[in-house]
Amino acid sequence: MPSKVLIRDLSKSFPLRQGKGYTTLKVIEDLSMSVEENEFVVIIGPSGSGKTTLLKLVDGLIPPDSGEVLIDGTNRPRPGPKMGFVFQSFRLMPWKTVMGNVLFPLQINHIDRQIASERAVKYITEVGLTGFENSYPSELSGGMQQRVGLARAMALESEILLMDEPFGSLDAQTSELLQVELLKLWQFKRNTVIFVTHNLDEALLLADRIVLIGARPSKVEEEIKVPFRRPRWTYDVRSEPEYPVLRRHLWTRLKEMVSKSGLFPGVNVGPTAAAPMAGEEWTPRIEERR
Amino acid sequence: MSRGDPSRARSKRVAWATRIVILVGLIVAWQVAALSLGPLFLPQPLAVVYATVTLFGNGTIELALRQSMTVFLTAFGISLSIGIPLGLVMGGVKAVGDAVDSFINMFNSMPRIALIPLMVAWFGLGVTAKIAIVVLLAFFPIVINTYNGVLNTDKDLLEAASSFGASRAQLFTSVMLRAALSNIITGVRLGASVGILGVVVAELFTAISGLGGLIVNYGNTFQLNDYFVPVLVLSLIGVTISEGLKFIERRLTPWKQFQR
Repeated sequence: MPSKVLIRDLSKSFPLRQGKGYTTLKVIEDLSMSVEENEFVVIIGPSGSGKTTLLKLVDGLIPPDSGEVLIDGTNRPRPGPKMGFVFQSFRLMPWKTVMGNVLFPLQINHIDRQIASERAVKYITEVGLTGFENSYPSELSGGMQQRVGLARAMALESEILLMDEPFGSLDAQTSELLQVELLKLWQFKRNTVIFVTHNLDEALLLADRIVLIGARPSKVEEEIKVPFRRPRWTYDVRSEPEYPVLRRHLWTRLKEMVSKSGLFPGVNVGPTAAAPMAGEEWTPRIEERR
Repeated sequence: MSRGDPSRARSKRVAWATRIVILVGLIVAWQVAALSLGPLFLPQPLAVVYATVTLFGNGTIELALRQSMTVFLTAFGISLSIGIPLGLVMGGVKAVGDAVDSFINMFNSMPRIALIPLMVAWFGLGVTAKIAIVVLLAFFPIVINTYNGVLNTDKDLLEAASSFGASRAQLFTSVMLRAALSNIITGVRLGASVGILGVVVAELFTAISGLGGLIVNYGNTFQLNDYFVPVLVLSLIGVTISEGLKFIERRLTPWKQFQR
């Protein structure tokens, strides 16, 4: 059986303004990876690596410079009902109610009105927003807005779900709650998910497989199978013996990549610094050197 | 958050009370000023009230109002029905927008009142010339705001809609149009207020008629009691139009109520 999503030697660069002229910024170079049907793949990489660009390429929103993305082994990707997209910044239409926002992709794809409204109600219920159907996004908290974003992408019942740091702009508590809810929703859908994040704990909780991509120009550095049994919301994944080992390994690799990239000259990769204890936060330490 | 909110109702009451206090203050100040300047320079409020009753009673205002509003509504209708579609096309089709934009800006920054003699030369002194003058003034704010509204549509929302498979036409109708709505209404409001100004100017510069005509006639003959009546009627029309458009805006953009 062909991979659900096959990425072969993908490269993409963008024009970068420099003084009066332009140079090109290579964001992704010769990146190859594959995602199997019903697999939950999390892509992790330092900030500024082309994670979002990669998702857009997979969705077909932008064309690659070279290489290709194949869906089901044969088709070039095209934005549409086959793939749902959840964005970090929610991107809800401010003039539409919760109901209107969830219906929007269905209407665009000319799905029968009866079916569309049944599905919208179903997914609004599943993300726990019953009673808010007629609210506008501006009346909702960030967490609730992203629930709408989730419902909107899921209502398409797409085979592939692309998620671009969907919980990255939410507070820690809300994002943990939503991670668990996503796990529950996914358990019953089992569609193919490509989830981008820079949060190691999120990756370890959600993924079947973690794909590490390096700093610009990005390629796949390493792939790691996550061994924890599912369903994972029924127990504490963090207390599994492999958890701290995996986390430390990921963190070390990430730090290596960041320091090699020269983006954060202060990040030290000496042997002692490279092995923080499990549970130690890594993001703030990078942030503070910006 | 909701309309029944008691603190909101209270602030509304305070606003109204303040308005009334200011109004009373203005009338008192007017009275004092009128008494000290004498009736040749400023009539007393009560004299204006008498004049209002008389001019409404003998049909003078009704006739002038009808003439002015015919010009205004026709010209405003023309401005809207050309301005909004043109702005939308300019925003929707980049080539058209880029091509037309500079000309629109050129005309907009020109003191268009200077073109009134030209309008008179082309259209004479009658209603047509007046309508042309008002269109000349009201048209540009409408096009420009519509165009900018479409142009400034949130790129992230467009990308989101594209990712769901929206075609260019769908992007235009379901994202750009909605995103541009409040800018369009702003343009319409600006167009209306400039349009009212245009009516008066047109009535002064072409065949004298309408409320603007009354203003010149009464002004030139020092009938200041009567002079104030069309002035007040015009400002009342202005307020009515802009409040009416605000009301329409609230109805069309219900989500804005919560964005404060």
